[in-house]
Amino acid sequence: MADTETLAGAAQAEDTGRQDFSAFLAARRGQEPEWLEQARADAFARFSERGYPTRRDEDWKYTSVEPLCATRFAAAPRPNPAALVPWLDLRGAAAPLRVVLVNGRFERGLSSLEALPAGLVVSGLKEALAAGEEDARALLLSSRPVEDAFTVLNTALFEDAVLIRVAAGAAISPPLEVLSLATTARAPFASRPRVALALAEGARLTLLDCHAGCRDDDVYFSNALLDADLGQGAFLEHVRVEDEARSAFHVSACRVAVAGSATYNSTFVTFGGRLARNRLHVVLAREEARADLRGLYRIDSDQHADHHTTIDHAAPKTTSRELYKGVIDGKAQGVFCGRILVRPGAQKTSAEQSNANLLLAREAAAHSTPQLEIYADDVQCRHGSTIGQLDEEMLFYIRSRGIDRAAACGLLTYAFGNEVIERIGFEPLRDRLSRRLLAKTGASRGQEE
Amino acid sequence: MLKITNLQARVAGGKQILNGVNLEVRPGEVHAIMGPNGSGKSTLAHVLAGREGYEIIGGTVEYQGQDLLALAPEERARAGVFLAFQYPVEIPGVSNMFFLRTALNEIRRHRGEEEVDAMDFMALVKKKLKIVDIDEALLKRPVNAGFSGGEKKRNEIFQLAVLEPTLAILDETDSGLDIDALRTVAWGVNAMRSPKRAIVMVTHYQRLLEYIVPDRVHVLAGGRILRSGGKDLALHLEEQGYKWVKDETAGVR
Ligand SMILES: Nc1ncnc2c1ncn2[C@@H]1O[C@H](COP(=O)(O)OP(=O)(O)O)[C@@H](O)[C@H]1O
Ligand SMILES: [Mg+2]
Repeated sequence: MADTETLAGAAQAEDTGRQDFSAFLAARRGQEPEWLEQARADAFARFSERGYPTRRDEDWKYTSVEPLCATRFAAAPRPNPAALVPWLDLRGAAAPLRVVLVNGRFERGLSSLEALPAGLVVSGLKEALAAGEEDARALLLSSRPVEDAFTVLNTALFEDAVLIRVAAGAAISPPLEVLSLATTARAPFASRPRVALALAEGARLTLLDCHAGCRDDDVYFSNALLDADLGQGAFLEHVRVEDEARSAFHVSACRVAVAGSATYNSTFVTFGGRLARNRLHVVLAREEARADLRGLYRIDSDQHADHHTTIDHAAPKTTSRELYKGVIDGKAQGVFCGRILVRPGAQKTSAEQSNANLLLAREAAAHSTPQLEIYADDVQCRHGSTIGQLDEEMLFYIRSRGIDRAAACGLLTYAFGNEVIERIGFEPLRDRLSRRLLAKTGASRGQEE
Repeated sequence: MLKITNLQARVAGGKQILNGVNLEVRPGEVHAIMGPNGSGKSTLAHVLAGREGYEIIGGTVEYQGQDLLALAPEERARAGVFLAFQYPVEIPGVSNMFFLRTALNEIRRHRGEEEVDAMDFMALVKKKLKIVDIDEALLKRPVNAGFSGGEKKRNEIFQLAVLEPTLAILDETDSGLDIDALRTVAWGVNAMRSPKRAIVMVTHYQRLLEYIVPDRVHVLAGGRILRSGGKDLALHLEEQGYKWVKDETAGVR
């Protein structure tokens, strides 16, 4: 029954989607090079073929997009940029270098890019196309190992993009913030923030990739896509903060290709959204490539947060570390699926994965699925996953010192999540996230009651 | 200050452990509660601090005119009750300093006093460090995590010194300490003695009482106070051991 409804809902959404897409293409005709138009049409064709996923798809077993399919999303509004200024520091990381996307559109006027360090180039889609089409094309459309309904949908419909390049050997400091802000509108709308990033050989960058809404009852659908290429010996510190409106849908994919001796570190912190689905796909393409992924989801009430990660060990002597933690309150559901693929010939691979979940309420739920596919024999792979409650002994000890139960829960939640947060080097952001974790939780009592 | 009348308690859904405890403690007094292992000393301490998992089946506990048993553990702490745990709990990921400052500020806030900031707190800590002789490095580490048995006990007394409770209940603070550590801990407790503060020490051995001389000694066995007396009662116990207690309890039952 539910499945038939899902399919009906999806079919309807696709129908309206098709009309929307024709209108979208017509409106842009002549403004974009033919290759881009073609890429959009191809992507939309692939989306139509595929349709929205249902829970019959193995990858979507625990996450339903039914409510998303059932919502009609209008084109993203264009609010007056000046009115948004107060939101930027409130929702962003308040970094000195900042790129702002509003409803998926690059706003140079709201960004702080006047004093870019040497070796860092940031441009919007139009500017990039004007500056050199081949370069833009390579950045946006170089073949990516994975796609799904949402990545092709983004390619078909993205209105704007931010293209970031770091020159060979350039170590960029301070961090670069990319804030994708969704605004308040009268009707639900869709936005498709898209970022493409290329680090040349030996380049280094910290990216503070913030996704946020303004008001909790704003309903929108952010379908975000980030593609990153790390050249030989490059280093990317990727901090992703997902703090969308409580009523928003957030479906994102990050596709990262890591060359030899390069390192990709990520810290994903997820607070917001009615539905958040983050897909992170990392290919360790050459020897000595390394990835260290950390994640924290802190959700409550009826939120649903789903993290799907894949680490593709495609070359020998590649290393991956992965630690995802979930703090789940109310009736919220956390999903973690961590796939580790060790390809034939990827000898001396080392991979460790762990997922730990803390349930703060009886109706909170966590699903944890490790997927190890190992096709080489000389490898070291380990994984572990836990689902537990707050320790009553610790709670009593803390309360016996005068701290009430809700604050004690906050303290223990902080202790649990801080292992992820503490790696964030940019202090103002780290402190803000710590405070969010420390806040009193409405944690109901443990299971023993 | 504290008046326990005919207190009876059991492990929730389990066996009865306290079988009618009577005890009265006045401000400024130091009481020692002694007894063999398993006699219910920790249970009494836990019930006074408000630990969950026990059912009160009868009796009352009055603390400064209020019904202590009606209060949540944090409310008791804010009212000035402090329990030094027999087995202090490790809390990985929360630094001692942060924990203690949070606790102090909660207590101060409920007394209508101003919160202390990180700077003032440091100054306070420096002062209190002298009382307990605890390694400053321990304060930056997570609460009790990886501490030795002795370090945990010192940390309890350090917390006592910072939080300055009105009623301090020390549950076997002496166990597992070597003689030097015992002396420093005892010195710390003695420094906390004041006409306004009462101290209830739970201990298995008489040894501690050589360093902290109590006003009253009680023998707890089989979940009730079998005998009360002056500090000489402890010496009597030391000579005779707990055998007579066991005999008497058997007789009573
Ligand atoms: N939570 C509990 N569950 C089951 N038995 C308990 C519990 N707490 C205490 N007891 C039992 O109650 C008795 C008294 O324990 P306790 O108060 O710890 O004694 P003491 O501190 O004097 O050694 C012991 O027999 C002990 O096993
Ligand atoms: Mg005991």
